[in-house]
Amino acid sequence: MRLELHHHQVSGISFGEATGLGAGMLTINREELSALLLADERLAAVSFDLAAPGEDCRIIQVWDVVEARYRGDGANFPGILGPIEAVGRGVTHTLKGMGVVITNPSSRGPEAKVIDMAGLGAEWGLYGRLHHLVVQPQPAPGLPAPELLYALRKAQVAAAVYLARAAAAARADEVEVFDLPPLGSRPDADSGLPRVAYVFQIHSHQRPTEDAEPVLYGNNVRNFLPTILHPNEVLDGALVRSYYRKGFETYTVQNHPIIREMYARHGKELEFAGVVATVAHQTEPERLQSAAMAANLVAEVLGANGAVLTKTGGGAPHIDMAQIAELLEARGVATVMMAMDMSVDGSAEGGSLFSFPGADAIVNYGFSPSPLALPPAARIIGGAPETLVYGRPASGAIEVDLEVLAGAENPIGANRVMAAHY
Amino acid sequence: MAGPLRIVHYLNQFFGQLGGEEAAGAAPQARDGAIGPGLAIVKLLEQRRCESGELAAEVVGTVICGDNYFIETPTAGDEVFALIAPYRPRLLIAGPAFNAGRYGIACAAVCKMIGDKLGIPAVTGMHEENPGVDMYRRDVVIVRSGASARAMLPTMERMLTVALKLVRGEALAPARLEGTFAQGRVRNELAAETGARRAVAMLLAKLRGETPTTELELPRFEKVRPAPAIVDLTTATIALVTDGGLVPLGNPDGIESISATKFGVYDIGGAERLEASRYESVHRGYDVRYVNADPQRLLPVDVLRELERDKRIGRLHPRFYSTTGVATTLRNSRALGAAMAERLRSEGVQAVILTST
Repeated sequence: MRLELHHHQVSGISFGEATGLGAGMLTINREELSALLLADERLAAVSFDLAAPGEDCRIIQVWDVVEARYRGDGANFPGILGPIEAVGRGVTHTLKGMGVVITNPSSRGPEAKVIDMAGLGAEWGLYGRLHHLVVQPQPAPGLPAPELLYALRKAQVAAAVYLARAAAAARADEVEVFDLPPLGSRPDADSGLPRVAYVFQIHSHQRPTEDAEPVLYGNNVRNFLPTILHPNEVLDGALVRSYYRKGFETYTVQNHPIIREMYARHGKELEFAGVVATVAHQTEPERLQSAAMAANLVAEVLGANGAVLTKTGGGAPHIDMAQIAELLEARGVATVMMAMDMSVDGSAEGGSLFSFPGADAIVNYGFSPSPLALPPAARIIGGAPETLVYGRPASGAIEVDLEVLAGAENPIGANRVMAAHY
Repeated sequence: MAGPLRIVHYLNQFFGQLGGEEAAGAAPQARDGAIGPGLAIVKLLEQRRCESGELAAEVVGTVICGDNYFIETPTAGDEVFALIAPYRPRLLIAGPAFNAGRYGIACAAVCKMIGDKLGIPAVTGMHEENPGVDMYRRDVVIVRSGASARAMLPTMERMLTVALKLVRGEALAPARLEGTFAQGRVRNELAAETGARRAVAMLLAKLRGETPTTELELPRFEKVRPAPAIVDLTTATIALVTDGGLVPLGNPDGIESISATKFGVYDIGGAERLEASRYESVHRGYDVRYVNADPQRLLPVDVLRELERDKRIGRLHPRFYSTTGVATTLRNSRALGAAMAERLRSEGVQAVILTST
């Protein structure tokens, strides 16, 4: 399956008459976009703001970030916007260097993420280096919470597709090709390179999904059994972040850093066997079913010699991940896991929730309870300067948990933040 | 400071060449200059001076104490201190003790004492299973060593590297890079590469047969031996204990919803069941809606009452014990467990049903 990402670089955004991209400048017709989003009657109003890298600006009440994408040849975000069809093939246009941020006015506490466009927050978060269109919807009166979340999800991807479509006619600045043939028809099957798979925990049912919560092809991934995905599907809009606050932003799924890394080394240092998607469950039987099947898919179907495993959510999903890794190690498949450092007391023994022979290679993506002090910001988007962020006015100096700075605690390895023990 | 760096070395009877186990009762004694493993310090310092012009240093004295004497004599620490202080050291090296338990404890205790009283760097080394590690890692810089003295030279090399950094006032690198036992301080940093890149590189290293440098140390859980089985359940008093966070509405004892440090004991008297209107779970690590809707899902009081009526158990203890088990440190868990066990025993409970989530 071959996916071409046609990247259109965005080096500035402004509002104007006609939506379009010229010489790196994206112009957005606010009224047109507003009309498109307000076609959903769950939303009473929507406003837009722009933020640029380096600006003395803080975006609050952030719910998710997506990259603007338009699939010229088919469905966009199937199961949410477009009809359901497999993605990951053909040409997809991307607006590079920018994000579409959506805010949720009803988010509280750690659900309300922060993006700082300058200073420490820009360095530690993932999104301060991008230009942003910040979409700020207001729900219709009396709208139930799950309905609002669904409306946010839909509005965000609709805006993302609307923007990228406007650039599709232009010549791309760069074309990136992701081409991975079916396992059975690979010429390099005897290359001698290790076969490597990626086991991707896409949601944690610590927070059960809503009935209509779209995660994979619009599916709410309840009763989800491990499934093999082509990596291109992940990159091309099959998967979005669930509503659970702890995890990855959709932007990092579309630019999945492990999949990109495996692609970059494919045919040189490894043979990329594929992706196995899993979820973290709430009950022991489901966890065992998931572990048994995922390990079997990796070892016996994909025939991998090694696997990287990631988790999402809080502490318990470490176990779902580790049980797969344990089965893989027992079958001689080498594993690397990516985990959050859990050591509330700073002790090594408190750092992890699991331990088994062979679990000797773990990358950590940070220590959540460690507070991050962020300096004041002159301009606030997503709320008022006096809107409280962790009990302090948004425009002043604030102190937040690592997970609150969007992208700082990224379980799929998009960031460089890691916990160090002294 | 003028003159060479003055180092005092602490050794036990064996490495201090007083004798083996038969000399373990030897009282503290001092010798000028280096002895035994101290000669490795001298050699390594000389090498460093030749190679990099590192500051001049000298082992001015060695203090030796028998392991049993140190552990069993209340004044041993003071006696050792009285011998070390006159050398006016600016650095103390103790051991390394490898996997020798009493020696490890003595080395770490001497390091802590010298650090506290003289305010100078003090470094020791030992194997991860040495009890001195758990007892002193928070207070003392302990370098990781192998289990036996065969690893003397490389261990001493790392101890010196760390010690000289401390003498120069340099910050130590994270424990896993420095080869020390972490002292309980954790902070977030920006690595040179993304997590994804590190993960794939780590996997390829592992596939090449290299030992991967893990970024997370795994806990070693001890095996817990179950208590002897109850012979006759029909006379036993059975208590319900949970880490699922069930408390009376309003959480009167303020049980933490995460990282608990305490537990609550709540009277249920002769109630047939726990009423949802009177209880709630304050646990932050699972979806508590089902338990809040019916607390029996966490603590099956209804079923135990049935067993009581059917005379299959003696009786249900009229109090349940509860805490939250989420991101609780092993240390706190052990302390909570011990305190619960003691109180349960004092209340005449023979067995507990422990429910988790």
